[in-house]
Amino acid sequence: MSEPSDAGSGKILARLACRLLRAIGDLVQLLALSIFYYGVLTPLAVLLRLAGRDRLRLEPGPSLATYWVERPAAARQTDMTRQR
Amino acid sequence: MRILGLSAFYHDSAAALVEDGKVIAAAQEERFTRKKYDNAYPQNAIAYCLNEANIGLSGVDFVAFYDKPLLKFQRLLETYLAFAPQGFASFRQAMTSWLGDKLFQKRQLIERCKVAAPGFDWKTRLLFSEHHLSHAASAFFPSPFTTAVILTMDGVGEWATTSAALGDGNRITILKEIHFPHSLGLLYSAFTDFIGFRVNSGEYKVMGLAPYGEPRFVQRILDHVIDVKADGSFRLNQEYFGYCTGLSTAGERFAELFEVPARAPEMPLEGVHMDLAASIQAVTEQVVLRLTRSLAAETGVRNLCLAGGVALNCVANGKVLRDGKFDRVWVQPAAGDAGGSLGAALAAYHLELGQPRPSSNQPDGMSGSYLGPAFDDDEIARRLAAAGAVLTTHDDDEIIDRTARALAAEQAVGWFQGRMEFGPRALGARSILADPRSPTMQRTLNLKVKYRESFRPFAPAVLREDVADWFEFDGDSPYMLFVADVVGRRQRAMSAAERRLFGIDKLNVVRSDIPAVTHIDYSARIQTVHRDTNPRFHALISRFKALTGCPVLVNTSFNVRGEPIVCTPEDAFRCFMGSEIDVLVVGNCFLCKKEQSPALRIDYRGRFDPD
Repeated sequence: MSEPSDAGSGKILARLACRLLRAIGDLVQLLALSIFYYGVLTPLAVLLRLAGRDRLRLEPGPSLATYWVERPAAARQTDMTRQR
Repeated sequence: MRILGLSAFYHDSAAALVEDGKVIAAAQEERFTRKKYDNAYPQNAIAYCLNEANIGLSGVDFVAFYDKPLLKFQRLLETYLAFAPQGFASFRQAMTSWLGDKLFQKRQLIERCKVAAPGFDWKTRLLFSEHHLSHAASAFFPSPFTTAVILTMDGVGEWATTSAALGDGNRITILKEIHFPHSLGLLYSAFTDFIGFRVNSGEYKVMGLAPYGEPRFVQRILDHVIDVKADGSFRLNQEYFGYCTGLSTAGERFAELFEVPARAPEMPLEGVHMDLAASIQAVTEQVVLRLTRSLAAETGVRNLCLAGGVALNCVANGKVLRDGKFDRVWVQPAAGDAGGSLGAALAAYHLELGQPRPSSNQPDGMSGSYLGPAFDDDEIARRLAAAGAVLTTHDDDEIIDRTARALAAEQAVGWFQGRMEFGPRALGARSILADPRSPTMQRTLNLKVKYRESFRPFAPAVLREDVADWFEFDGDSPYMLFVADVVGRRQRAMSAAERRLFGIDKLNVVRSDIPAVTHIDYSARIQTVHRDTNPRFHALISRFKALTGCPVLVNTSFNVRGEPIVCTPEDAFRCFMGSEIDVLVVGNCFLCKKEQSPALRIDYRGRFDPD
């Protein structure tokens, strides 16, 4: 009769260990992503913006005739063997 | 040569099989898993497509994916670079997903292919289209045109949110694009969210709500939210949007701009919400018309193909057609992301491999969009009997006559015939049908059959040869993608008192000879039914016309709110027993609700998340 209860407590322990490991994993991931976002990406972003980069074309263009972006002649066909 | 096209991992996964340029089969994964807009790897849809051609994956020459994942990832990083330090929560969520699996889609796809067909060098057989090229290919190659302008508009693909291309023979040349974050689809979705509907599925509710309102916010939207050039190109003022940095699409500044808080889904719809819907619909139409007019003038081409989620805006499509800048307009019926699977396969076949188009593409290459699974009568009877159904079987003439008589007696009929439709619309293969002349049918169908908001209009299916007698339209609209008015002589003018009614109360006023399909502005989302593409549905409406004088039926999708359209006879029987559909016709099997065992009734409400 003791075997099922051992197995039961083993399952509970395994579940607890799983949750703990997942929580640690989440914390490590949060830390790593925070360091990258605020330590690397943000300073780079600020520098690029100070240098006038506007890749998303966020600024309005009252003097522009159009907001269409012409596709360069070389890129008017796509290479389907590539993921990019 | 066979090419399997796939769209997956974002919204509404699907698979499509193209053989020597002809579309053999196509289906959305949601129909098999019964999970609306399922975005998982479409293994069931793939299995169906291969089964339809009686092959395994080893019988396929190439697999074509509908977008380029690495370009999408690059766009994500550029977005955070533009907004950092804002947007960390969104960045964290995106990176978890991308670093977990999305970044390795090629490897995953190859592994899945290897399992199904070992011994092939899948690295050389796996192709990647661009998102908008997939849409463009899905719009042009199955169209009846040799040459056409192709306009695609949606939320976003890799970078493009809108693209203009020229189709000529088996070539597509992309001319220009509008890039993220400037997106007509995301603009419409932001309003959808603000009005309290679900993004990616509630957009058509906004379109249905628009005629109730006054477009009084148009100028405010144009002054503050979107800057539109004369040629229709546009930029969105990102101060009003949250999608670049947050997880919600509607910015808090919408509330300030329109002096009204965002509507929560359970809150009642008020006049201001209808006005917002009318306003964003009017702005969308204005942008689309400017785009199409300028493209027509620029290219001199007289045919237009449309695809992308915005091309499901059939009110705007109707206006483009009536605008007359193009002689003919063809819209891909699976205009959303599911159709990208088909486009990717066709792009691979024609563009990458240089294969010619089929010699005849008339009336088009979509076979009426009836590209999904079918079931023969023996199998239907066996499967329904196993589900406990009580049914009778009849020959073709008798089944048509019985069904037409049930419809004329104002019964709601579940109509399950032949191959399932590909795309979001039910076109007479998996439909709920009813008598459009009944003044109470719209309300009854909405509340008792579909379990959804009562403001939404139903669509008419009309015999192609009779369409001009009933609607201000005399062309082909087999995919329910154009809106036109009921003809004047069949309209009924509202009295002064009726005109003063507010919003949904107005809906209950009889406004035409076919009130169940007449929206409050007298418009209708027309499906023309053609003898060539769906002879059985054509025969049914013809018989209904012989009985009643009316060649029109209400046609709505065979599902309840939040449920994917039915796929199998069992799905149909379940929906029949879970709603107040009176009669179910599956192939040549006829089922009356009152003859079914009450023990098989199920409570369907609450089973699916509201859409």
